[in-house]
Amino acid sequence: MSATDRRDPDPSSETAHPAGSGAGRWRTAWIAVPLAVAVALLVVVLATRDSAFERNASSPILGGLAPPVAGVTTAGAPFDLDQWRGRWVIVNFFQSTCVPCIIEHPELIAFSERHAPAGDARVVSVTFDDTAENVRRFFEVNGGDWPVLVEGASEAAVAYGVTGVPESYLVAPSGVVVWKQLGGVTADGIDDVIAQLTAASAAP
Amino acid sequence: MSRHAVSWIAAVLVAGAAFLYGAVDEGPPRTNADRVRDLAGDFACPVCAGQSVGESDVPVAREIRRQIAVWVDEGRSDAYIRDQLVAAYDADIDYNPSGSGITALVWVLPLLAGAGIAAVVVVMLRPGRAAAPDSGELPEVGRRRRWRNAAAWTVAIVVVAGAAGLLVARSSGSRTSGGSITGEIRSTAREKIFEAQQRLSDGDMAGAIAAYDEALEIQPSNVEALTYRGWLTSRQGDLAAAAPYLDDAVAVDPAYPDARLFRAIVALEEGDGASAARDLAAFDSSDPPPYAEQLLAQSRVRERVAEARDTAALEAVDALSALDERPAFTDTALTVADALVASEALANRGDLLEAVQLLDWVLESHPDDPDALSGRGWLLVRSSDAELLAVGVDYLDAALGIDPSNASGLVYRAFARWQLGDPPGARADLSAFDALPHRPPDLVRLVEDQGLRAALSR
Amino acid sequence: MSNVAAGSAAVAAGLAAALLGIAVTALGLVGRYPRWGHAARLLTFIMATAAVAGVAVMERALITRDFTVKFVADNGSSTTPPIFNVATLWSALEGSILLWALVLCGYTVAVAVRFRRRGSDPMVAWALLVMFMVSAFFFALMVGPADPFIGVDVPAGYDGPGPNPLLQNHILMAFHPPILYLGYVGFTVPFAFAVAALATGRLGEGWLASTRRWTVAAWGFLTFGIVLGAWWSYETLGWGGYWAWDPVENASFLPWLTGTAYLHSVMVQERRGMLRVWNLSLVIATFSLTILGTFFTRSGVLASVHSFTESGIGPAILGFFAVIVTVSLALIAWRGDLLRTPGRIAAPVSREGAFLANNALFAAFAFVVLLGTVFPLLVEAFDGRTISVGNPYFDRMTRPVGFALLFLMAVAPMLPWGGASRRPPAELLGRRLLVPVWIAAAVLVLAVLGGARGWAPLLAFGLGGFAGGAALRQIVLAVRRHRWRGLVGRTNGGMIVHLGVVLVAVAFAASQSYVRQAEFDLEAGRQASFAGHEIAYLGSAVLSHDNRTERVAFVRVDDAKTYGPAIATYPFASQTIGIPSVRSTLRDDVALAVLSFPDEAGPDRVILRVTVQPLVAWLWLGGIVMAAGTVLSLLPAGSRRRQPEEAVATAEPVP
Repeated sequence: MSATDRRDPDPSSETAHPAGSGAGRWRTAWIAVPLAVAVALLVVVLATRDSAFERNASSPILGGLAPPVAGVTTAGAPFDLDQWRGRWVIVNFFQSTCVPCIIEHPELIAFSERHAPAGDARVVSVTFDDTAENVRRFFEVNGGDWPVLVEGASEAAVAYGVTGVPESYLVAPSGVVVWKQLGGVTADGIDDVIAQLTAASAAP
Repeated sequence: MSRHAVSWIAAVLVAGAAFLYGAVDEGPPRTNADRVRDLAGDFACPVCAGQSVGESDVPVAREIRRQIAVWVDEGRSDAYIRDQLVAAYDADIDYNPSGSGITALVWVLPLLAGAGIAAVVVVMLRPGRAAAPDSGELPEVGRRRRWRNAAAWTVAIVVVAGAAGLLVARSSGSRTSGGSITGEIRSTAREKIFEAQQRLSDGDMAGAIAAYDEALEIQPSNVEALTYRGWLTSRQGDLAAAAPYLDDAVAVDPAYPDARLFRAIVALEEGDGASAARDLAAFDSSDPPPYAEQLLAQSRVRERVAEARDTAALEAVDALSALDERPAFTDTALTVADALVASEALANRGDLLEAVQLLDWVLESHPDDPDALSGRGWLLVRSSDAELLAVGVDYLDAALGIDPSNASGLVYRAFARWQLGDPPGARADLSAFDALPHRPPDLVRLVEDQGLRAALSR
Repeated sequence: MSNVAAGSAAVAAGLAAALLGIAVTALGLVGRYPRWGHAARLLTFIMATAAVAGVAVMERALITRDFTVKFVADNGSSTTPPIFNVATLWSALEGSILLWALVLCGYTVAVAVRFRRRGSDPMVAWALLVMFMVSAFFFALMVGPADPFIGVDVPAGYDGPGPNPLLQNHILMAFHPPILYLGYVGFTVPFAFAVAALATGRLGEGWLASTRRWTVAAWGFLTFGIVLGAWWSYETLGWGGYWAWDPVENASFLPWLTGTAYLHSVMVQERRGMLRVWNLSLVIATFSLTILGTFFTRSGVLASVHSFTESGIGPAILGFFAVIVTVSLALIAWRGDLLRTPGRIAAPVSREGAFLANNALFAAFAFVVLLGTVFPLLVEAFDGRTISVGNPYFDRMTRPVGFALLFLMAVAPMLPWGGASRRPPAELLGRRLLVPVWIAAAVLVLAVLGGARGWAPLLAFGLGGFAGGAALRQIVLAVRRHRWRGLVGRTNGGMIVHLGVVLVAVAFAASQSYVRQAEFDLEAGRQASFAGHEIAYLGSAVLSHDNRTERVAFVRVDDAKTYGPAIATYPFASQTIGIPSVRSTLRDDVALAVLSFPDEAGPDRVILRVTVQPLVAWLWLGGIVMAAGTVLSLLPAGSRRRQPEEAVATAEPVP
């Protein structure tokens, strides 16, 4: 411990320097006030922010031309989303090990079968971070007869901005992505969306 | 020169030489894997809290890494990869804030702040700062001058630092800038087609045609662009110019329903019913989407094709009957199908007798033709006369005796048996028809239009 | 007595003691209670005892797996290994506040004891008042929104999920947070004295002298805590990264920057009486930034791996931050006239001039980091868009500042104080910098011969050699003069800290610039060659632990030792957790991380990520050197007559 630390400073000596005029105080205030305003602004901004956990990312691809979904299916056949132009298409991203995907699957089957006679809506599944073998087994177990993209799947997933599975996008007959669902879909849910969009486009 | 100075010069020379050599010489080549790692570190994992795509091990980060690797292997530029990811995941996937708009502030503000801090330090270090107020000037004048100087300096610093900041923002945004600067082809044929569709829905037909042309420049064999380019041209009344586009489209993809439909319509407008009929048949077997069916119904293509066919057949038959002596059927250019169409048309016109005579003439040359036999039978069946009905059934039995899977025979006999009060028989024929691998659409429609199935199920 | 009741009682007692302490010191200040000093000291002991009791109760609950305490039910587990069971205290929000309070109480007691002879001094009274207030705030948090002792009914046989798997697979997790907190909280002491100086109007050098060692100690803990944190991420995240400019990392780095600036600028005030406002501002900024960092970590406003789960204490901490800044600014504005600097800088090229430049650089550095951290929030607030600011921005903006700081580190120790030497500074520098320049040249030549390329890392190496050479020269001269005493004291210890900083800077430049990474798909028995290393995959095995199941890949590196990177599955975690393994040498590190075992049924295959980075070990070495230097600088300097820096200033240069 050095002497300076132990010294009991004499208060008078510390204030002994010539006290500045009022100008000093003003100058300090000139700096303090803007700083206070900046900090207040920061506090207000921080206080009004939602939690980062709640901020839901909207998808920039909504309302635009559907990114390509093209490649090879589990059946070994080529697939291109554009061939289905003129129909509603559900582009479903899934992973064979994800439990919500298994829960969602019967809804997709229902949707697909409901629209099979009229041919006005179809389903295509795209694998996400998965192997072709797992996916084949998944469809053997859970059913479903629509195309399942394995080759070109990464490209499609990244092009749609998929963040997790299951995730589905509805592509309108015009080729525009009109709706996005994070998590499982239901057949009725999709049909409601289609009905709403059809009504909205018929209205004007 | 002192020993110190020599030593300094030597040290600086050695250091400078080593530095220059190391800075200029190219190191070992960077591999694609290195570039993937760098890029992965520059993008935020979309579902992670504050981790980059490179750091995180969640599936989406793995997929994005995989795709970045694909792009790097394809030789894409950083700007291209950035644009792709931002287009899909939004701007907040990019850890490098863009150098334009309000985000440029993040680059500019530090330079402004740095310049401000530097200015304060320079003022504090300026020798003789404390002595300044003691100069001979009047305090009033001195103060005003000092204010003016300070203001001028402040403005100058702000301007210079701001400009420098903007330059930094611009250059830092070089990776983030749009692909047009790096010369990547951004528009694909799909995007052009999409643009054309939007213009079309806005009623801008010329603009749509231009957009389709651009799509065809990018990809000359694009079926959709070819088809709609031709279709729009035909809607502008130039059928001759439209035809090549539609022909090309059909040549590229014979199973594209839109091309078949449009070509059929154009052919009808040109009076070429036979071509229209062929395209219509191809259309029917091509799995057409609902809107194409609607357009087909709206433009009455099916009816007009049928009318054209009837007209052509009747004309041919009429031409024959105008001759003094009718030649043998096999000596004419007519086919059985033509004769059947003509007989149908005659019957529809009310000339049942003529229709019957026509088919009899055909049967003279082809007594065992099941289609001719069943057509002959159908003429009698549809007369609704009980006696003729019985005779008609004989013809139908004969036709089916020759070919048990004759589609028209089965349908006609189902109608006949139903009228004869034999629903089980009719049902048997109908289910035999339903079991056929290929059922002609006009017969299917006949069954539906007449409500036969509904009547039988009652 | 149940743990819930005992813990709640302890927290309540702590709050009561803090509030009483506020009352007692306030009464003492207005002169109504002359013997306030004894009472206040007693209250700090009571408060600290309460905090110790609170922590002890919580640790008992964690160790005995008392799931009737909600915190234990949420974060504890019967299968967590013992050491991490203790560390679970700071792996979740409420416990971390408890630890914070404990450290704060420890500092408060230390201040009360250290300054017990100055019982009549209003400065000390004010400082204790501030510390009682801060303590009261943290105890109030635990009574209110961050109550660690909430009771809960759990069904029989309940077992908790345990802490986040990433927080229970490395031993550093047991040390990094407490040491970091010792640093964070330590800055409360200089802050308290700064406020005391403003309140009493004794704005001279007295409060600086009183708090100098406290500040250095807090700075040392913060530094070492940050290095340990980087080490932890490097060892557990398996990407070869140790610093990601994550918001929470930045939040710990900001007070470090302002604190470092303060440690240098304080010398200008001691010597010249200048920069009073600036030093006060730096101390206040440092403390405010620790509170702001606490807000970032605990409010969930910024997404970060290090964030605690969201909680309701964000607004409280933000309010506290606002109060601190407002009161401090108001005090500074109020004392504006007393803060006019009596001294001035005699010569621009002087020690004080260099310190001023150093402070300008640190201020700019802190501004860049703070702006980059909060900028996404600002844009979102004003523009509605969401953007991210990360690695590329921080690297680009901070690199030039880092180079300038390295340069100053070489030059500043050689410069005389203004007016201390009659020789022109250029001549002095010419003599004193000769050795560092040669060392820089040697480092550059060695680096280029060793394969280093690219201007940026080479510049960093050259400047590092320059700064390291300067520090070495000072140390050698001091040791020659004073033997072992040449290693202790502020200046000499500071030079050793400089050496540590140089090690870290060089390691940072080398590892960031020359990192190599690749993924290999290896069957058992196969080997791969990468970046001069042979990686052989020998096979894998499944190991069952109490709290997890691991599949370990046995990987031999360079025909020497076998390493065991693994993938672990924890019962309560949805994702598998990779456990990387690092072969570390002074030359380079080979980090191995298993990405997956792709074939469940087929042959034993592994997807292995191999990261080779040079000089990573120097980072940790640098951290240890910095910590050692801090300890040395806290020891009393040998010669009271003269500071060695002055001795050096008149010494003849080494030929």
